[in-house]
Amino acid sequence: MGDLVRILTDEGIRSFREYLASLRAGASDNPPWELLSDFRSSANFDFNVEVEDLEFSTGLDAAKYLYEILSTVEYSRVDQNVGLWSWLSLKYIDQLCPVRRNGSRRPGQDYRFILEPEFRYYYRHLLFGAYTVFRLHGSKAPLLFDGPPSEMNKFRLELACRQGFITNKGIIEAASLLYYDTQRGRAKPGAAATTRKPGTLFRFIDVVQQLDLTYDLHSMTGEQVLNLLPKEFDEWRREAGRP
Amino acid sequence: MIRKFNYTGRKRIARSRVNIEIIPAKTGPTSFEASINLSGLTLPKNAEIFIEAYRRSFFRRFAFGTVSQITPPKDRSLGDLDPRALAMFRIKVVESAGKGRILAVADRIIPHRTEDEPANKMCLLPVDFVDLGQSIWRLDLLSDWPSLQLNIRIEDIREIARSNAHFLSLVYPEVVRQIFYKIVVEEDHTDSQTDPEDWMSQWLVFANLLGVKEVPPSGVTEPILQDKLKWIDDAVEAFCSNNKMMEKFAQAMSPGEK
Repeated sequence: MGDLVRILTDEGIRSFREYLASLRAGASDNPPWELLSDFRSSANFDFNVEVEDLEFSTGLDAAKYLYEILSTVEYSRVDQNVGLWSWLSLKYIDQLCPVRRNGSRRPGQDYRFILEPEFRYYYRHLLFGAYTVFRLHGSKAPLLFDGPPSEMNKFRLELACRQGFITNKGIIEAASLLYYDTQRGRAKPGAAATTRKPGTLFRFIDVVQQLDLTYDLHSMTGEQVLNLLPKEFDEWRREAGRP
Repeated sequence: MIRKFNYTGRKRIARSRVNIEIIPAKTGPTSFEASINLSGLTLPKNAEIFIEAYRRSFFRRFAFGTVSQITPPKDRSLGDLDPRALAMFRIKVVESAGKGRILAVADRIIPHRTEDEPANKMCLLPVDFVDLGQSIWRLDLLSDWPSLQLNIRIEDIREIARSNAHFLSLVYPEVVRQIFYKIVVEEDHTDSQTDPEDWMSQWLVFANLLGVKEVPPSGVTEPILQDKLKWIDDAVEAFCSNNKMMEKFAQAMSPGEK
């Protein structure tokens, strides 16, 4: 038997922000769990959804689980629901912002936990971002879930911030085919190098943006997108078993 | 002056050739009607037409037949998109049975809503409804097209933004100011002929229609910046004057008015 999902109220969100700010200032207090159930800081969600205390080993596990439990809820009540996603973040804060060896937590920006619905930030919410990618691509985007739930995966950050990329099944599948090592179950080393090294993620983005002007990429599969990429991607393509 | 080159060979479909209208539903998802005029563009008759609706992580694609036979699909539902949310549209004409080459495109099309202004009127400032916390409104100048975001939490905010005299007289002049500041000062976009389809050019045309006959000065030196700020003041004043903002405000403030 799990807990009934609730939504954080404005007051609850304010208190959650204060907690995150205190962590950034060096405090090591326990999370304000009471906000999850106190009637001033949280309110009923309109749907009977239960969550359990689970350990997620990857962002994909978290995304799958949330997708499953929220599947009965009208999507328009899930999307943009700041209170809901903030409540879920607090519920799983130990996994999203784990205690480090020295007893501190390093939360980073608030938008990782408190949903900012604006297009510039929504995908940076650790849970909603993962949920959104899973909802769009299912398990065909393993690359975007590489790493634990507490980490903002670099591939997700770079691909999800581009509307034309994250909604395009062919592009996301092509990126996973190129840069995800299915044998090892993780992203290939060097794939997300910050320099624009030939064939790496940032070049992939540059090249696909150019191709998007000429080709109807939304009609293509991942394989078809791979076939359009120039020579500089040959090495990655070969590694992916697609010479 | 910014020049744009098109090396792809694809044609641009002018926005005036396309009209998208959102059809609200009493229950279930909203849908849309589309009319497209491709005559005179010399596109292959068998080229395929697609209409795409998009917003953040939302994306739907609809096959609309071919150039010679435009056939809207029966299901034009926008699925789980929040009915109040602003989706943009894109029309693509794609080479048939080829490599998927795009032959012509029109992007960033703002749909009309049946309850809004007439379909033939260009919408310069679409409205979007989002959770803004404790803020009432915000101007989004970073998306593909500027939009006025209104707080979805406020009941009747659509009607307030459309007809409340306090809102109209206090908010819209500031909106106009911020938009012109972005265009003229931040982007140094001062020529409406640079790319007539671009939103910045269309706002400059709007300024002209308001009665601001001079074009804003171009450049980044301090004296030019001062001239630009003066131009923006004039444009905002013209906007207020055209819309009788002071009268609206005075009327709203007079005793007996809410």
